[in-house]
Amino acid sequence: MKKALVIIPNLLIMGLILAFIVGYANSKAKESDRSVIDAYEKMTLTVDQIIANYLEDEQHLCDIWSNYVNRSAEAGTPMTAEEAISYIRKAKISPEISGHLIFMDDPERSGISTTEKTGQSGDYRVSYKNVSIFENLDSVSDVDGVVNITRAYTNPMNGIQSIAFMNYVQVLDPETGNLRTGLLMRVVPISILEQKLVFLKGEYENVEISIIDQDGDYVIRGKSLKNSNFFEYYRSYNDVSIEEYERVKREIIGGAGSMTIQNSKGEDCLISYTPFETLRVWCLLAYIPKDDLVESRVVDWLLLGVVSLGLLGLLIFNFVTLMIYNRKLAEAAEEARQANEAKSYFLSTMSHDIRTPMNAILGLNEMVLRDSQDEAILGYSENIRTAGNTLLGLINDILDFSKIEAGKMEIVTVDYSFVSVLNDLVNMVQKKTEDKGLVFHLDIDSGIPSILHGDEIRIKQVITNILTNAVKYTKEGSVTFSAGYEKILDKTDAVLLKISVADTGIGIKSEDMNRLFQAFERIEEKRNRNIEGTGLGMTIAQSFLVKMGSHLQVKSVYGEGSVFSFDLEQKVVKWDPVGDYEEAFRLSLKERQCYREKFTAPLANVLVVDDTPVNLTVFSSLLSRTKIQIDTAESGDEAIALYKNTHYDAVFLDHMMPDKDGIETLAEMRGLKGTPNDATPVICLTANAISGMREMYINAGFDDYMTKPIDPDRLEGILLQYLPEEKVVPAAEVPEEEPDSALPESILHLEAIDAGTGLRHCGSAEAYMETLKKYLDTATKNADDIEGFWAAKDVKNTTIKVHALKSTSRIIGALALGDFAARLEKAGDEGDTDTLERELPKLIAQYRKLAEDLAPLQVPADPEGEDARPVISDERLKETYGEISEACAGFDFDRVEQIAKTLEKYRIPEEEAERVEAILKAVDNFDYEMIPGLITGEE
Amino acid sequence: MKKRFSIILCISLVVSLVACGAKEPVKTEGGFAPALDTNTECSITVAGNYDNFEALEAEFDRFNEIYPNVQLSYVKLDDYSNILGTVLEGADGPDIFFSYASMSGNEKYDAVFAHAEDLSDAALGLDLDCLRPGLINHDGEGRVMMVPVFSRSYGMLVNNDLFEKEGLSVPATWTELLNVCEEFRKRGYTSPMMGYSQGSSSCFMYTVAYPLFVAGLAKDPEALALANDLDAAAGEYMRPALEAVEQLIQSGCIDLSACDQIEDNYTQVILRFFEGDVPMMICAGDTVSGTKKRESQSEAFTAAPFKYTFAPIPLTEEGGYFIDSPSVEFSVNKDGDHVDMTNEFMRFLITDSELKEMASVKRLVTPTRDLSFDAVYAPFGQVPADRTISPEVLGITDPLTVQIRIAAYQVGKGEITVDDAVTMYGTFE
Repeated sequence: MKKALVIIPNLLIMGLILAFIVGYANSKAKESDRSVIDAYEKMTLTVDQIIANYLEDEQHLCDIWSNYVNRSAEAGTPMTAEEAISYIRKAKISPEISGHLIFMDDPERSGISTTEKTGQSGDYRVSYKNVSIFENLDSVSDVDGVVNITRAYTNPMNGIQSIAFMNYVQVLDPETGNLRTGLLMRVVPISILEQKLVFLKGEYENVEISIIDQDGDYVIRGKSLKNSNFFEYYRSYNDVSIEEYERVKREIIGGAGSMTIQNSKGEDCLISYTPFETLRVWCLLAYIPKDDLVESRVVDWLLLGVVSLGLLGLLIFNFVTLMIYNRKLAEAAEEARQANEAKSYFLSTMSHDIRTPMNAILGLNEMVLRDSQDEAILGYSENIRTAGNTLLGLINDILDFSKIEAGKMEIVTVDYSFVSVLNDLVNMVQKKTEDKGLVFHLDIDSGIPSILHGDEIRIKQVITNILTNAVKYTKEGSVTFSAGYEKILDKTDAVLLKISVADTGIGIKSEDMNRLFQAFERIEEKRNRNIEGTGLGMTIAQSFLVKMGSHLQVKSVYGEGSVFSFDLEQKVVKWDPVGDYEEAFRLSLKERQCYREKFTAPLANVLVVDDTPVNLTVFSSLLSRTKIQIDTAESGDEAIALYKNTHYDAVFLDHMMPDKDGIETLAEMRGLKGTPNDATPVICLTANAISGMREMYINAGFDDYMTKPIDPDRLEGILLQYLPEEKVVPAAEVPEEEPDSALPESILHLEAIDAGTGLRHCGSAEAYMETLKKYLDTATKNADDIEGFWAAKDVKNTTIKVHALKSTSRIIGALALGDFAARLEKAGDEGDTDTLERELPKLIAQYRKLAEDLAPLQVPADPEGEDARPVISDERLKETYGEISEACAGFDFDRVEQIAKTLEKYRIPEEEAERVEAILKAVDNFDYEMIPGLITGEE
Repeated sequence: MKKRFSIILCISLVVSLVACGAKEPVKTEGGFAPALDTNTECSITVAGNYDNFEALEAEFDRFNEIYPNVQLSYVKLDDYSNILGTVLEGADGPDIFFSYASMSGNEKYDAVFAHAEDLSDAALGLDLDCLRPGLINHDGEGRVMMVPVFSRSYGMLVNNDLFEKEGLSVPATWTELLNVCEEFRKRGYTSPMMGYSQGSSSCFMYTVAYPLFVAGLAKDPEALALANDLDAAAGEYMRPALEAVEQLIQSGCIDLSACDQIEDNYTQVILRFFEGDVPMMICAGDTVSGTKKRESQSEAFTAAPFKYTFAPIPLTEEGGYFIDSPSVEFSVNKDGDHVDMTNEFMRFLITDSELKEMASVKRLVTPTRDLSFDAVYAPFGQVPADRTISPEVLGITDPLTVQIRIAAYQVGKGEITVDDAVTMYGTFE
C-alpha cells in the first residue's frame, strides 16, 4: 500500500510533467509551425508577385510587338504578316522565345513563326488546329496591365512546353489588300519561367511551384504533383468527401492560404496557394513536403526524451529507496506483530491467571456473605467483594481496551428491560455513594419505554463507568443520575435515550478536557493518585458510544463539578412506561433482603468440570440453595465417564485443564453417540475474557460461555435458560418458609427476640437456631468477661465486648438488647464511664435474662449421639501442629490440607477446640498464610 | 504484482522513448535486381497524349524506391500524333513515348520509329513473355518497337447485384441477351442496355459492331484484305454487325433517347451506370478503367454500392468475343540522354507484377497473360482462345475501324439504313 502511495504520485507527477512538456512542446511547435507556414505563405506571395511581374513584363513585351504592328496599321502603312514576323524576329532578343502570328479565322489556325520547325529547315508555318489553348480567347484584351496568356502547351514548332502571351494585331492581307486580324503570340518556354524561381532553392530546397487555372488544370506543374488537374490529384490521394472536395476547390480558387494534403506517397505536404493579382484566372501553388518545414520539432522531442529519462531515473531511485525502507518497515512490522502477539498472549495469560483465583476469592466470599451472621465478618466480606469487584473492573477495563484496539469489539443487541438496567446501576452506585457519604439523586423519566432493544451490557458498562467516575472524583455533595427520553420524529419504533450524570466533584480544567478520552491518561495525576483506576474508563465509554452511534459530552467547571451526558438511539420493543422508578427503588431498598435464590430445581442434575477443586466447591456452594444435584469432575476423562452414563440437564466445562482441555473433552463428548446427554447443553467455563474468545468457544461447539470469576446471578440466569422448564420451580413458587414453622415455641414467644428479623439475618431457620445456640453458648462467658473488664475499669475491652454483644444480639433479633448495647458502646467510645457505671449492670442483667430464656435450646447431648471419636493427646496435637507449620513453611499446602484433615478424626480438647476450628477454616478458605500464626497464637 | 506493474511501466516508457527516434524500415524491391548504380542521378521523361497518367506516376514512385535520384516525369504533348515527330527531333526529346499499333506501318510515323529502340533485344532484358502474345507487334523486320502497357477490349459493364435481385442470369448467348432484356423491360427497366451515343467515338454502336465485324473478317482473309483496302465490296461483311446494332435498338434492349442523355463517353457513362438501375452498360475497356476512381465520386454508388463486372457482349449463340487490342504502348527513344536508365526503367516496368500493379491502380486492362487478378475483368479471362481475336495480329488497320465505327453509329442513330451503310463502305470519314 505504501509502495503504491509513493509510486502512483510519482507516476502521476511524471505523467503530468511529460504531458506538460508534450503540451508545451506541441504548443511551441504549433507556434513554430504556424510561423514557418506564415513565412512560407509570404514566400508564396512573393513568388506570386515575381511571377506576376514576369508575366506582366512578358505581356508588356508582347504588347510592344503588337503595338508596333498596330501603329503601322493605324498609320496607314499596315505590315503584312511576313513583315510583322520579320520585325518580331529582329525585336526579340532571346533565341528561346519565339513569336507566332496566326489567324483565328483560318480553319487550320495557321500562321507564321519567327523560328523554323524543328527538323524541317526553312519551314516557318505554324498551325494550332489541334492545340486547344484558346478557350479564353474572348478575354484577350489590349488594355495595359492585362495579361493574356495561354496554359502550358506543346509548341507545335519545336515540341517544347511553353506558354504564350497574346494580343491582336492588324496586318495587311496581301491577297485582298485588306487588313486582317491576327493573333500575335509571344511563345516562352516554361523552363524560362522555372528559372525565375531558382532563387527559392536556397531557402526551400524541395519547393515546387505550380500554376493552375480555375478548373485546376495545370499551367505549370511541379514534378511531385500528379494528374493533369490539381483537384483530381487531390481527390486521388486524399480520402475526402465530395463536400470537402468542393470546399477545397472553392478555397484554393477563392483566395490565399495554405493547407496540408497527402501526396501520392501518402506523405504530408503543405500547399500554399494564392491567386495572381493581375491574372485572376490563374492560381499559384507552392508545394513542399511538410517535414521540410517542421524539422525544428526534433529539438522538442530531444527535450522530452531527456526529461523523461530524468524522471524515469528519479522513479527508479524512489522505487529502490522505497524498497529498502519498506524492507526495514516490514521487519519492524514483523517485530511489532510479534510484540503484539506477545501482548495478546500476556493478556490472555493474565486474564486466566488472575480470574482463576478471583473466582475462588469472590465465590467463597459470596458464600461468606450468605452464611456468616457475624457483622464484622460480613463487613470484611463486603469489603472483599468491593475490592474484588474493583480489581475485576480494572482487568475488564484492560481487556475491553484490548478488544477495542484489536477492532474486535462487537455490539450485540438484545431486548432488555430498562428497569433492570436501572436496578443494576442504581444498586451499584447507591452503595458506593453511601459508603462515601454522598447524596445520590435519581431523576428517571417515568415515560421511558420499559423494554428496549440494544446492547444492554455495553450501555450498562458506559453508565457504570461514568457513575463510578463521578463517585470517585466527588469528595462531598451529591451524584445525580438522570435518564430521560425523546421521541424521534421520523422513526416510530425508536426513542432517543438521554442519559446524564452530574456530580459536585472536583471538576475538570478546560485544558484537560482533551485528555479526558485518551487511553491511560489520568487527569491531575498527583492530586488523584489515591484514586483507583487505569485511566481507561472514559476512553472505553467513548469508544462504546461511538460504536453505538453516539458520543459522550462533558460540561465541567473546575472545582464545582461535572456533567457527563450522551444521547443514544434505542429501538422500542414495548412502549409501557417504566413508571415512578424513584419510588419503586426506595421501596426496594426497604425490602432489600439477603441473597435469595431465583429458583430451585431439586430434580435437575448438573455436571461441573474443573481441574481446580476449590472452583468446584465454589460452583457447588453458589448453587446449594437451588437444590440442584451437582456432580463434579476434576478432569476431562472423569467428565466423559460421567457424561456417558448419567443424564445431565447441563454441563459446565472448564477450558484450561491439564491433559485434556475443555475443547478436546467437548469434542470427544460430542463424538459419542447414544449417550444420555446427546442433547445436553455444554457451557464453557473460562477465565479467558479477551476479545474473540466468545466466537472461538461457540465455533468449538459450546452452547454458551461463562467467565470466571463466576457471577452468581449470571450463573443462575444461565441455568434458568438451559434447565428444562418442568424441573425449575421459580423462587416465587417456593413455599415461603414460615418464620416460625421450624422454630421452637419458646423462641417465638420471647418478647426480647424478634424471630422474623433473626431469620432474615440468618437466611434459614436452621441457621437461625444454630446462631441462637452459639449465642447462648457464649452468653455466660461474655457476660462474665464484660463484668470482669468493667470491674478492672478496662473501658476499651469493655466497649469491644459491648460492641460484639450489639452485633450478635441484632443478628438473632434481640433488637432491644442490641440497641441498648449500641448506646453503651457509644458511651464507651466516648469515655462516658458514668453511663457505663449506671447502665452496664442493667445490660448484663438483660443479657443474662435472655440467656436464661434461651436455655431450653441447650439440649443435653444424646448419649447415643455422643462423639465417639478418640480425644487427641497433647503430644499428638503438638506433633500435628508442628507438621502443619513445617508444611506451611515449605508452601506445601496440599500437605497442610491433608494433615489438617487428620484432626477431624479426633475429639479436640475444649481449650484447643477454637484453635483447631480456626485452622480448619483457614485451610478451607485457602488462608494458609494465617495458619502459622494461629498455631503460635500470635493471631 | 505492483512491482511487476511498475517494471512493465518503466520498460514501456523507455521503449516508447526509444521508438520516438526510430526510423521506418526502408522498403526493398524483392523481385527486381537493379543493374545500374542506384545512386545515379538523371531525369527521364515519358511523353504521351493522356491528360494524366497516375498509374504510371505510381510506378515512378516505386522505381524511385530503388533509384531515388532518378527524376521521372510524365508530360502530355498537345496534338500528339503530329508533334511527336517534331519533339523527337528536338534536343529535349522524351526518353519514352506513347506509341500505338495504328502507327506501325504508317509512313507518317516512320520518323518517329526511327528514334525507337528495338525492345526485343535480349540485352535489354525485358520480360516480353509476360505479355499476351497477340498484343506484341513485330514489324516487318521482326523488331518490337513498342510494348503494350495496357490493353483494351469491348464489352459491357454488368450490374451483377441487379441481376441477382431480379432473379435473372447474366446472358451468355444472343438469345439469352434478348430474353433477359425483355424480362428487364417487363419489370420496368426502360433501357436494359445503355451506352454512349452522342458521338461516334466510343459509342455503343461501335462497341457492339466492331467485335462482330472483326470476327467475320478473321474467318475470311480475302474479306479482310478488301476491308483494309476500303473496298466497297467489303461493306457486306459489316451487315451482321450493323443488324445486331439495329436489332438491339429496335427490340427495345436499348432506349436510344435514354442513351442520348449521357453527355460524354467516359465519366458520364460510368456515373450513369453507378446510378444502379442499368443492368448492362455497353462500353470499352478504357471506360471501365475509370470506374474504380469514380465509385467514391458517385453519391448513388456510395449510398448503395453493388457488385459489377465487365463481360463480353454475347453477340452470337456461342457467346461473345474477346477483342484483345493493345491500348497504350511504350517506345524508347534510343537517342535519349539517359537511354541506359530508360531501359532499366522499362526492364522494371515490363514485368507481370508491375504491369498488373499499374493496371490495378486505375483498373486498366493488363496486357499480361493472367487476367484473373481483377474480378471485374475476370469474365474476359474465361473466353476461350478461339473466340479471342487480336486485331493487330490479324492486321486490322485503322481506316477499317473508322468505317465500321461511323457506319454503326449512323445506323444506330437511324441516319442511314444497314443497306446504305453496306454500300457506303470505304466512304465514311
